[in-house]
Parts: sequence; C-alpha cells; structure tokens
Amino acid sequence: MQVRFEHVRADYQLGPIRTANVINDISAELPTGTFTAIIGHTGAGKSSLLKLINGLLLPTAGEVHVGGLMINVKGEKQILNQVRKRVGMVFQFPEAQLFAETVEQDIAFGPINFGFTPEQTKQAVRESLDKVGLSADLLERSPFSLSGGQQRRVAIAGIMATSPDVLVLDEPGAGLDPEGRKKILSMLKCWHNEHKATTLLVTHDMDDVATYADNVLVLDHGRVASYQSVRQFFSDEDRLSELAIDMPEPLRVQRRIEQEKGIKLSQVSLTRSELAANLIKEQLL
Amino acid sequence: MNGSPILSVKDLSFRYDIRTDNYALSAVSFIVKRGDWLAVIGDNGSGKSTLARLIVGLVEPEQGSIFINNCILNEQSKWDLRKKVGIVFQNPDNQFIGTTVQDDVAFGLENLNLDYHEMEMRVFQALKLVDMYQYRDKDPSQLSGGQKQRVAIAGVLALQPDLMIFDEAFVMLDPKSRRELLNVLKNIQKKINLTILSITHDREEAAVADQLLVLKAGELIEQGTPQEVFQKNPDIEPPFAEQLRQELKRKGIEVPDGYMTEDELVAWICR
Amino acid sequence: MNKLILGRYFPGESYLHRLDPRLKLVAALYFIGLLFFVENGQGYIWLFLFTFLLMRLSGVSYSVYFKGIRPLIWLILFAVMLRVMFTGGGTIYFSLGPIMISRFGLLSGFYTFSRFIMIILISTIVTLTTKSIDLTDAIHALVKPLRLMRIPVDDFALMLSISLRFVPNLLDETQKVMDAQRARGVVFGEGNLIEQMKKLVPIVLPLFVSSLKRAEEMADVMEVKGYRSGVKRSSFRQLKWHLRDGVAIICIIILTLGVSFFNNINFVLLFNI
Repeated sequence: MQVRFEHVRADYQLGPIRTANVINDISAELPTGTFTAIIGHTGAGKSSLLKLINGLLLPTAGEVHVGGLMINVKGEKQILNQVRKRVGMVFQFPEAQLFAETVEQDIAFGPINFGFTPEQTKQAVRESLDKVGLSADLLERSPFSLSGGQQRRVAIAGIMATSPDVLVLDEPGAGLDPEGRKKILSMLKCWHNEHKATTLLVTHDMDDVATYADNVLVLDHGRVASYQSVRQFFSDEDRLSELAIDMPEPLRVQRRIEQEKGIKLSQVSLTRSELAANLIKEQLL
Repeated sequence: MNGSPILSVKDLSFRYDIRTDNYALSAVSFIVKRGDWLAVIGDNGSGKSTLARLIVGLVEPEQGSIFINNCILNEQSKWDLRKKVGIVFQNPDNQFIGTTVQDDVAFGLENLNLDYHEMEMRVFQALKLVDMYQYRDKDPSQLSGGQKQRVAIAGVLALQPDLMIFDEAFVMLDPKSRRELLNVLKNIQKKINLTILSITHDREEAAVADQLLVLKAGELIEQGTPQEVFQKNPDIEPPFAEQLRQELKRKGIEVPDGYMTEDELVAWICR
Repeated sequence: MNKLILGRYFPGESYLHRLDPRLKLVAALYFIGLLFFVENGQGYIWLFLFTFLLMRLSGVSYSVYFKGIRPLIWLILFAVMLRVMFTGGGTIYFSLGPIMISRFGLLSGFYTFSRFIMIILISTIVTLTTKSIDLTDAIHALVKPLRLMRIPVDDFALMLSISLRFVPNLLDETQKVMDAQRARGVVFGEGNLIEQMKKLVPIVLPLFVSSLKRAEEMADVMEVKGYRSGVKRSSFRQLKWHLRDGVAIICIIILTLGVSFFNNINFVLLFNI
C-alpha cells in the first residue's frame, strides 16, 4: 500500500503556545513494499510525520494518501478508522501501551476494535505471538509480569495482529541491549518482506539505516531535506556533513582510512563485510 | 593515592525473592582502584544493575560485603558513604528532580545543607565540566536526552564524589549523543582523577575502560583488560574495529594476531 | 483539555515575568479583595484600565486572554442573569412575578460581570507570567510561619514542586498512550457513558504503571543524592527583591488611591441626593 504526502502542513497547539508548521509543505511518495528510514534531528518533525499517516495528527493543509484513502484537514472519522486499520504503529517504548489482564487480551485489543470475529482474533493473536518469537504459554500471563524485552515483543505483536499494510516504527529498538535490538529489527524486517508491507522507520542509528532500509528521507525543520536511496545518500559526503548526519560505522572507518591514506575507494561500504570486501578488492591490505 | 582500592566487593550474593533459587548475583568479588575506569558488561538480566543498586546501598546484600574507601557499607554508614559515591541512572527524565538545570544540579547540595555561595560555585563548576552552563535556566522539557544526562552527571559531580557509577546511563541516547558524552566523560576523568564504574552493554563504551568485568546470569565469568576479555571470549561481541579485523582474517588476509583498537587497525592498514 | 488558558505559563521576559512571584501573588489577592470594595462604575472602569495595562505589560496578546475567558463565559452570564433578575431597587423597567429588571439590578449585574472577568484576567495574568515553580516558591515563602506550628512546610513545598515538575511529562505521556490506543482502533468520545468509561482503562492503567515506576526511580535518585525527610536542607532557589518590585508596589498604592477616590466621589454624590 502506497503512502503519499501532497503539500502537507501541520502544526501543534498546546495551550497558549502554537508551534507553527511542525510539518512545512511536505510532498513525498513512498512506493508499496519499500522500507524507508526517516531521520533528522530532534524536533525536525519525525514523530509528526508518522502521526500524519494514520490521522493522529491532521494536516492543516494538503493531503495524505494511504492506498486509496485520503486524509485531509477534515479528518472524517470513517476514513480515519479505515486508515488506522491498515496502518500499524509501533511507538517508541511500545510496552507503555500494555494494559490488559493477560497477554492474549492485550494482543486481541486491536483486532477486536477493528471488528475481527472471535475466531479471526484468536488466530491473529496466535500467529502474531509466534511471529515475534514468544511461546504460546505466555498467553495467560499478565503482561506486567514479563521482562522488558518480552513486554516489547507483546506490544509489537498487538500491532502486527491486525496485519497492517503499512508499518510505522518509531525507534523500535530503543533501550534494548545490542542483541535484543538486532533481533527486534530483523524480526520486523522479515515481517516487512513477507507481507510486502510499506515500512517507515524512525531511527537515530545510521547502522540501522544502512542495514535495513532501502531509502532515506531526511527531515529538517519540517521539510524534506533529502529523499533518495540509502547508498546514494551515504555516498554524498558533502551533503552528509551539511546536514550534520552521522555515518554508519563501516563508512566512518572507511573515510578514516581514506583520509589517512589519501585515497578514495570507488564504493561506499554500508556493512562490515562490504568494507572488508572493498578493502580487499582495492588491494589495500 | 592512585592504585589504592576505592571499592572492594567481596563474595556478594543477592536474590530478589529468597523463596526461589534465582540469584541475581552470586559470589561476586572484585576491586576497583582509585583513578581506574571499570566497565561491567553482560546481557539484560545478568545482574549488572543489581550490582549498582547494591553498591549505592539501595538494596542490601544477602551475603558478602562492600567496602568503600576501606569502610564497610551498611545501614548506618550508607548516608555518609553516599557522599563519596554518585550514580547516574538510565532514564534521563526520571532523575531530573529540579525544575531547572541549575536547581537539579543543586538538589544534592541542598541535602548536604551547604550555604548558598558554596552551592553556587559548585553548580557553576559542575555545569562547566559537562558544558551545560549556558543552559542553566532551562527546564527539562527544553533539553534533549543527551543534555538531560549531562545535567545528571553534573548533579553527581557537584557532590565531588570519589567514585561515579553509570548504570546504563547512555542506553537511551542516540549514537551521536552517546559518543559525545563518552568523550566528555573521558576528559572529566582525566581532569579530576575520577574513578568510574560503568555498567553498559555498549561495546564501544566498554572498550574505553581500563578493566572489564563480564557478568552472566549473576556470575562473574571474566575479568581483565578489554583486550584480554575480547580475545579470550569470541562469543562476546567486540567493538567494530576488532570485528573487522576478525572478518579480514576469515577472508584470508594476514592481519596481526590479537585484539586491535580502531587506531591500531587503521594504522596497520595505512602502514 | 488544551483550550484552558488559566493556569498555564507563557514563556517571556516582560516586566511582569520578572517581578518577584511573592509580590505577584500577594498583589493578585489584594486586587481581588479590592474588587469587592468598589461600588460604582467609575471605579470599575479604573480597575479595568489597570487590568488592561497589566495585560499589555505581560507581552501576551489580548486574544489569548479572551480565549481564556471563553470556556467560562456561560457560567459568568448565568451568575449575572441571576443578579439582574432578583435585585430590586431604583427604576423598575420590567417585572413578572418575583423576576424583575431594575436599575439597581442592571448595575449590580454589571458589577458581578466585571468582578468575574477581572478575577479571571488577573489570575490568568499571574499564571501566564509566573512559572509554576516560582509560584510554589512564593507560596512556600508565605506559609513559612506555619513551621512554628510544626507543619512540615518544606517537605510539602518539595512535594509540590516535584509534582509540578512532572505535570508536563504526565500530559506528554497521556498524549502518547492515547495516540497508541487510537492507533489500535479506539475511538474516544463515542458511545454511552459506560462504553466511554471502559475506554479509559487502556489509558489510565498504563499511566498508572508508568507513574509508579517513575516514582520509584525518582525516590531512588533522591535517596542516593542524600535526601532524608526531616533533615535540615539549604535552599538554592533564592527570591531576591529588586527595584522593579518597589515600582510595582507604588503602582498598587496609586491603584488603591484611585479606587478610594472614585468611591468618595460616589459617596459625595449620594449625599447630595
């Protein structure tokens, strides 16, 4: 399912203070099946952009298209409900949304709200629990009795249970140890591939961008500062430093070697094995 | 004074629930020398954070003892010993007590009942050390996660502790803030000869330590310099440069044997 | 929830922002007291002029203040109606059973209206220009004498300031949890009362859990930083008296003189009739 922004603007009103144009005229098209990383500094509008996709934040101008559905300033309830059914949203620290008595009830919450029948719900719960790598004997446990990592998985299962076509992820690995992080992200990537989902990932970690995403969309002061493929994006050294964006670890080491040797490798290395291969290919060793 | 033990932990065991055999820590012993940087690594649930809570006296050991500056930690001595030991926790929001940056840094000083001018001076110095002085009037909602952690560090520095503990204090930060904060910390450590105990699962953070402890399911399974630990335990994921060295080796390149830091590896490639 | 202006702080550097919070608090209470002594139109106009001057000085646009009155306007009008309809005296323009509209009734309605509006405006001015922590400090300073009665004023003040410090976090978290549940298909503000109450569970419960966790972590932080209830602590936050605070006091004296001046004129006029 394609996601398309057309001249979208949005702002926040908090009491007497109005933050104008948190999103300032954004137009972008995310084709079906792509994995897009959204990056930018704190306050660049990343969370607002995510919220626009399922109408948690309504545009003050412009249109957001999700598949055949369109959200504009009116934000009709029926359309919003249909959109939310199609969009799965994993917020930062999603375990903060757990509330039910049992894991099963918590995962079933979304499916029931979206009108799944009891049988469909039951099946959806089991499937998604399996997808996130938890065993079925947790179903009767209280979500609050689980470890932090398990809670996160349950929360994610609750979102996957409705089999969304668009998956929106806000730093799904935040706060976990490196192994836990890697597991969660590769699990989400697998799901993305299997469902041919359109996925958006907000992250500060450029290694995640390099490892998982196809495209990068850079936000800066509510505008799209850059939107291109991951490889192209990281090749443009000047633009990276202009936007003050980190490099993935392998690329940073590559640049360091290049600088000290006074040479330039023909390709950018996005992963460790690419860097190793590039070093060997260019006979630097 | 450098080299003398500032913290020694002897045969420490702890269970959260004494009805089970589930030890969060069992028979852990080690020593931290003054001026050292010691990192404790291990996965979630390995007992790292329990260790930190024990050392600052938030929980009491079931067995074993903790000595700070050769003085045993117990219910009576903990209030005095806490003046020597500071801790920075994981969540930047939940440890911001004051309403503004400087109020927060002053909180611990108020508890010591210091007079205003002494507080003012210490707050100034601490905020300068973490480079946050220009933000002294801001409230937490105007700060990023990294900035809040700097304030938390300043709040501990202002107490002029001998030992500073970081309990996964950088885990909630983005990689860039993490790196910056680590550099700030390295500089501070050099400047004021601080002893640091950092509990972490970040490999790069572990690699800057003088000594590394590895905890697994409550037991201390390894202890040594980062080089020794990473070399002896291939199942512990090393920092990126070492990973690259191993990868090159697997691909048949004749790299030097043994653990290499990034500087060493780059120097070797550019030789 | 976001419409209510009263009680919010508007960041700024205006003259009013920089005034001593103790002074602002006492002056606002004094002003509200003064309102009840004024018994004539000129006096109210004089007070209104002063109020508008303060609004101007606060650096916040007038529209913000009027937006603040809007949610309360029906309540005010209702009170005014009662006043108008059940007060007799002077020329009677209309009457029906116990209900009448008289000259005195209209005047008294106008006074009631003016008092309500000014009470709201003055309190809004104070809260818009004073950080909640400064207000806490001011209250703390003003109730300090209660220490003599062995009331733990300092602990209460710290409790209050910590609670206030976490209000934005709590609002933020509420917003986040609500968003997360809306994304899972909850539609708020629909259905009957019981259904609506049920929908609160997925919001309130997670907030409760996270607040408890937060409180625990904070208690840990406070403890390791040496906080012990009942042990004497010093205070880093100091309220200082500046020249501008003196100027403000002079303004308040002028205001009071003005009010008594108008009250006197009225007094003289009444005497002549």
